[in-house]
Amino acid sequence: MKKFIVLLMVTIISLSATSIGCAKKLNIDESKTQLYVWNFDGGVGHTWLDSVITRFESEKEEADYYREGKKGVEIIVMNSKDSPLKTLKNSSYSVFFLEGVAYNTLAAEKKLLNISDIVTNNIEGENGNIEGKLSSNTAKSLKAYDGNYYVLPHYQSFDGVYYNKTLFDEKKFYFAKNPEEYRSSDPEDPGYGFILNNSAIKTCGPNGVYEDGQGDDGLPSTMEEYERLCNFMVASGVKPFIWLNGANASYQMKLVNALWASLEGYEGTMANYTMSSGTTKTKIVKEFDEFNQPISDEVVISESNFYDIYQQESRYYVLDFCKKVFSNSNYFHSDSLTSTFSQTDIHETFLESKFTSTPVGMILEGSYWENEARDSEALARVIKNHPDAATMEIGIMPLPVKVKGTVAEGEGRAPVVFDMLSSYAFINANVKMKHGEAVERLAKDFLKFCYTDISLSEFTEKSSVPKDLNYQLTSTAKNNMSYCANTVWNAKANGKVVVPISDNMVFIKNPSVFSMYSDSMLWKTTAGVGYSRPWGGFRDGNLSAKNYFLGMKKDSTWWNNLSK
Amino acid sequence: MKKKSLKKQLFYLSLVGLPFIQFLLFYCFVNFKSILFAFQSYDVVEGFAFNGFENFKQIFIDPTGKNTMKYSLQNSLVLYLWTLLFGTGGAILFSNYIYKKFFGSKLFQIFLFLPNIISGVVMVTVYKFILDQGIPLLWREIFGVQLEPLLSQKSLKFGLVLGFSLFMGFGTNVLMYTSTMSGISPSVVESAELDGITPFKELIYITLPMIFPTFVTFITVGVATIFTNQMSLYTFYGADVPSDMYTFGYLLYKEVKQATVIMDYETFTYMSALGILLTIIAVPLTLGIKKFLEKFGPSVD
Repeated sequence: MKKFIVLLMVTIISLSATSIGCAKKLNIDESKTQLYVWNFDGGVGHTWLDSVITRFESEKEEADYYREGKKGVEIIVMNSKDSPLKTLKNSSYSVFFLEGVAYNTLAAEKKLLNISDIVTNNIEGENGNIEGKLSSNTAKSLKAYDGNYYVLPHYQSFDGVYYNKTLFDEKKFYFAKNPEEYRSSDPEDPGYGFILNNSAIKTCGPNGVYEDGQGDDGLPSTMEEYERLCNFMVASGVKPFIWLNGANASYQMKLVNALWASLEGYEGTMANYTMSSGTTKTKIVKEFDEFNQPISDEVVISESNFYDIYQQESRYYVLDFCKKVFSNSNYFHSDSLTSTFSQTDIHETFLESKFTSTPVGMILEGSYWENEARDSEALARVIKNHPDAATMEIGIMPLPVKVKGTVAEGEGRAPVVFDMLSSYAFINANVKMKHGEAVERLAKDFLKFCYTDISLSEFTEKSSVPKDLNYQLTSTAKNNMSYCANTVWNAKANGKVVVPISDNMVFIKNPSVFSMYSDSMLWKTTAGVGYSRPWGGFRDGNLSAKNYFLGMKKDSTWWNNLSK
Repeated sequence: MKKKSLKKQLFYLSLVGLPFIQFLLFYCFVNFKSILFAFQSYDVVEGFAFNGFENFKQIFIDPTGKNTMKYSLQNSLVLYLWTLLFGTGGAILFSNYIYKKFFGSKLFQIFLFLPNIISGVVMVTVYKFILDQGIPLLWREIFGVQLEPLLSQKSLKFGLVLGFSLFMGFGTNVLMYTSTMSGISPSVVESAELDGITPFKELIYITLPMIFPTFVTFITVGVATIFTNQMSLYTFYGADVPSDMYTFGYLLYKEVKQATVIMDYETFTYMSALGILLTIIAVPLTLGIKKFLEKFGPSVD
């Protein structure tokens, strides 16, 4: 009897343990052909996917050409924050929309289906194909492994600074064009150079184009102005920055990378991945003068001198600025140091701060932040307590493009922003083996459908973020999008996006050195005890910007040791 | 008779079947693959190839480029010494206190066993809340000054995490020592007490020799984990730990975790080589210390 009871208990425990792994039975429509889709349900969410599925299923309502005896298609979605990449080989899911996709390695492991046909064949009803919508670097990079396409770009997130424009308007945090309209005429006064009233003419901003006081007009165009803005904000009782003090200091890196890309420009930043700056010259620091100012040479970067790129002058000025911000608690909200706050907490603090005695001007975030604030109901809670928050305008901040002085009209540069997420869509290579040839065709049709002009525009409208493809937004989409989403779209449409991928074999073969997802070489220094990120170097190591910068220097030995 | 034997076998199989499969998959297979990785190189175009002892050479060059090997060794040993001193020495004193049923011993027992009942991640969260929000708030209320969250202060980071790690391990040690002490024959203790033994002498001359086998086990297991203890660093700071706070356990965990995210198999090969090298050091060290303690330590006789 005892043994029976023990045996029974063991059986129950074993069954319950194994049944944990079994998904509940799906309620599927047997009369239709099913397609299983996995969507990473992070900041971008799944509203966009629901919409595209509704249109696709409706278009295929009468489709009887996938599986014999079946009419119509049914798409079953798994919205999850988990990554299924490790279990792709045995997964029943066929189409994936994920972030952090190491597409070259996955292609090499034969886990991705070759989708060159849907990328290069014309899209029905359009004058072209998906390949025609890809930027030249993206197209080259995506097929670098063996000349075939295995993935398509999914969402982009522009990491950087998002500023409360409503607060800026109220506090007049804009630079004035004419000295007679300065708030203060004393150069020692923090308010020197800022507009006296809202009718004052603003400077033309970093893009060097006067836009009648709109766009980036009045915003800091140089690093010098950015520091002055921060000082003026502090003097006005406003905390310049807030960020999530996540476990790996990645939110602080959004400031570092965004400033660097903006200051360095597209070609100079991309050269860190393509290992060539083409004909564009970048400033490389050779030494420092007696006042600790860098002295630089202008050089063209190629593989023969690639190691010099870690001494780009722009890097030094970014470090110099970040040293000031990260080391002085006047520049950031105290919650930015607390490790127990969540993204939602930080969003709420930022949104609500305008109505408190400690307003915050800028948040370090990715383009998806507004979606997250909406999904977590942080925005709704703030609006409930402060109805004015509903009309608050927060947008991506165009960042400085020069070091000193002010950018004059016609001498600026369109924004350069950084897309960090390595987000891609692809089809599982096992689709035919798991579900048959019919579902393989269906998966390809669905993926292609997601990249039509209508779907791309709808994606941005629903998710507030763009994709790394060239497409237009419909006017309805623009009208339905928030102020923030429109500023993000404008940054893409009017500027250039650094997508850190390349077809260079050194880049491909050394992911631990170049991948933005790892402890990459981009900001690694040997100064002090050695740091991967400026936040650690400045906060824990108390390094100076110059020492941090000099510790980033590489030589030909480093280059020779890379896999080629 | 045959039916009974079959039933017995089925019963045995049902008990050991799953754990055995798990052992094969998650111990034998994983370690076998690690050994293979240690002698291979990888790149996305060529795939895996035999690489001789190159990965072992790389360890001495320090592939992370941040003196992590030096600091990992230093901190792993510091952690071990503290664990030895506080985790073992302190635990014996506390266990003796509980065993002798001195004032408040029940309360201490519950307090010290808490970390073993509650999940480690929950304990880290509670600890973080106390240090990053609780204490600064209290400080502001009392002194009117805003204190930086303690876990973000460089001078406190290592000590606070080390303290947490010791506290987390303390409960297990106390539990084991207390239960061993409770097995000491009361007649031996009573006889010593009649002879006028002091509590301290009782600990040295009676309790310690009686619990020595448990002590040896803890010391031996402690040596074996010198190179794998990550001190909960990843749970506290994720991937952004300054290299002068690294332990080997953290280095291995963090590098492999990051490599998994970006599917960087080359890092697996270095880390596998490092793992093997550390095993080569740890195995003789562990066995040697065990032998030494058994030979020269006090015996019940």
